Amino acid sequence: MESIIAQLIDGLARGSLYALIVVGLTLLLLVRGVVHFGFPYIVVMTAYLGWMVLGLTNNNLLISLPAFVIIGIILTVATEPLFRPLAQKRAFLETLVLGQGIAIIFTDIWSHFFLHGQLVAFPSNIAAGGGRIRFGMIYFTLADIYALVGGLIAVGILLYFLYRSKQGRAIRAMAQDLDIARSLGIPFNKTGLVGFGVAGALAGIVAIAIAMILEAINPGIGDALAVKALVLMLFAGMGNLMGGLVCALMLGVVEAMAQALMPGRWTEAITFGVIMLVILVRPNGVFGSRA
Amino acid sequence: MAKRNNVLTVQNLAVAYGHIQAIKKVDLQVNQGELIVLLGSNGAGKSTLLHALLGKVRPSRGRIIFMGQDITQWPTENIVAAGISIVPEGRGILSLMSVMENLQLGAYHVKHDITENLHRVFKLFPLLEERKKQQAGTLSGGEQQMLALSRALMSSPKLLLMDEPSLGLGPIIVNELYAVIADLHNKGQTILLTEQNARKALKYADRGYVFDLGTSVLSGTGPELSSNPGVRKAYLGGGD
Repeated sequence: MESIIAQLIDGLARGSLYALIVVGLTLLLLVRGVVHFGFPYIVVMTAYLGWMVLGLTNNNLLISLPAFVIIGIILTVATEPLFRPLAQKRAFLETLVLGQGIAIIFTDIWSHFFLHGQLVAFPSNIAAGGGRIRFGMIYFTLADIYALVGGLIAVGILLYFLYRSKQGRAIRAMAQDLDIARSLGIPFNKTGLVGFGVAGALAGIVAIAIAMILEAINPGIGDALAVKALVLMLFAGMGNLMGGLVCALMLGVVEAMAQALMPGRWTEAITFGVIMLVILVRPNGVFGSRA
Repeated sequence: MAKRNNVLTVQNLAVAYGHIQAIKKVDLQVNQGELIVLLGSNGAGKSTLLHALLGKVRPSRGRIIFMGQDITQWPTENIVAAGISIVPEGRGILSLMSVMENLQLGAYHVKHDITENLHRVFKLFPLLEERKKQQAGTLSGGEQQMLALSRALMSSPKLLLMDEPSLGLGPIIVNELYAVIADLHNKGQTILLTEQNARKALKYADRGYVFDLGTSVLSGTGPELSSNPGVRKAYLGGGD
């Protein structure tokens, strides 16, 4: 029983990591009508650069953690002009190709030019959130707690931004009807940059969560995250924010449980098997509309 | 009466979509407080002109002067911020958002507190205040047109554009709508509208322009156009 609780906590923490990526991708989908497949790779790039900042500052978290967020914002905003012409034409599928291109280039950069793609471990004051906790048999890291609480706070702030702020309203208007949004005088370029900036801040937060939960990175992590994030978006119903959140947390828990209860390396097969079955029953996603 | 201030001047305008010349040559003028109607059949270039005024399509020739400034090449957001707003054809309600959010979006460029603006449109359409939390898509066609008009008024525009406002609405709603338009006109709102319902529009308009094949071919006051044989034949249903 205790080990199940520990797995549950671990699963929720992982799930909130997925949730933040899915939320970031959904935000980008709303603001530009693009599937930014490169976004999870920007997260990995941010984690690498953040690792360097940690090294340069003697593992000073007060400098490094904000640096993660700033790097995430800069990298994500830098990709906005690439998507702009396709977004104006609403060329949805083409944006997938563009995102995939960014993904491959980013992965190759770290694979070929940086320590030959070896695993890079984060220092002990950030890895595992700086400590481990034990209640009897229940054993988890501080990182799990930070990721869960931090994830919830980040998502809460994002929802407030989208549904209560002027810029958030403008983003949702553009998502719903670009032509009308333009007629109302909502600036296409500025609103897009704001959306990409907010998604970039999320990328920075996810990179911190990766440093804490996974404790180490290699260039291949982007692939694993991207596939899961894309599957989660389809699984939840494209553009469905709350659906994506719930599904992401569920995925984390299912993974952790499969890890605890099934032998060895079957985690992914089981997880994706469940997803396949659900998609067959509900092709528009668990929370998608039937229209 | 003193000559009224000029709000909008369109000179020698041409607009093309690719190879299709949607507007060949349009000249028109709108003065402060005027209600101007653009008449013409489908494809005559009326809607294209409104889109060009908003900067959504770029003219290939000519100039658009608004409040003394050449706005021909301005981006849409600057034009809206300068004081032109539109009631789009087919109303263009953001149906998944609430009535209130639609109104707030109409005031996107308003810098000050919008309570006063809300108060003004709610006074015009009390029904919208009752339904401000309702999803806009659940409103009836007539109510959506009222919302679209209110949304355009939220920015206190110096020039209000209306693209085929009576399209798809029943005769009773159209009468109500024109009563509101006439009321706005009486209060001094400058309005430029396109309309296929020529009889209705000419009854209220100060002046009108007739478009044909992308060219403004004729202009005159409401009564002048109403009694013009060509206009009667083409737009008022024959020689009655």
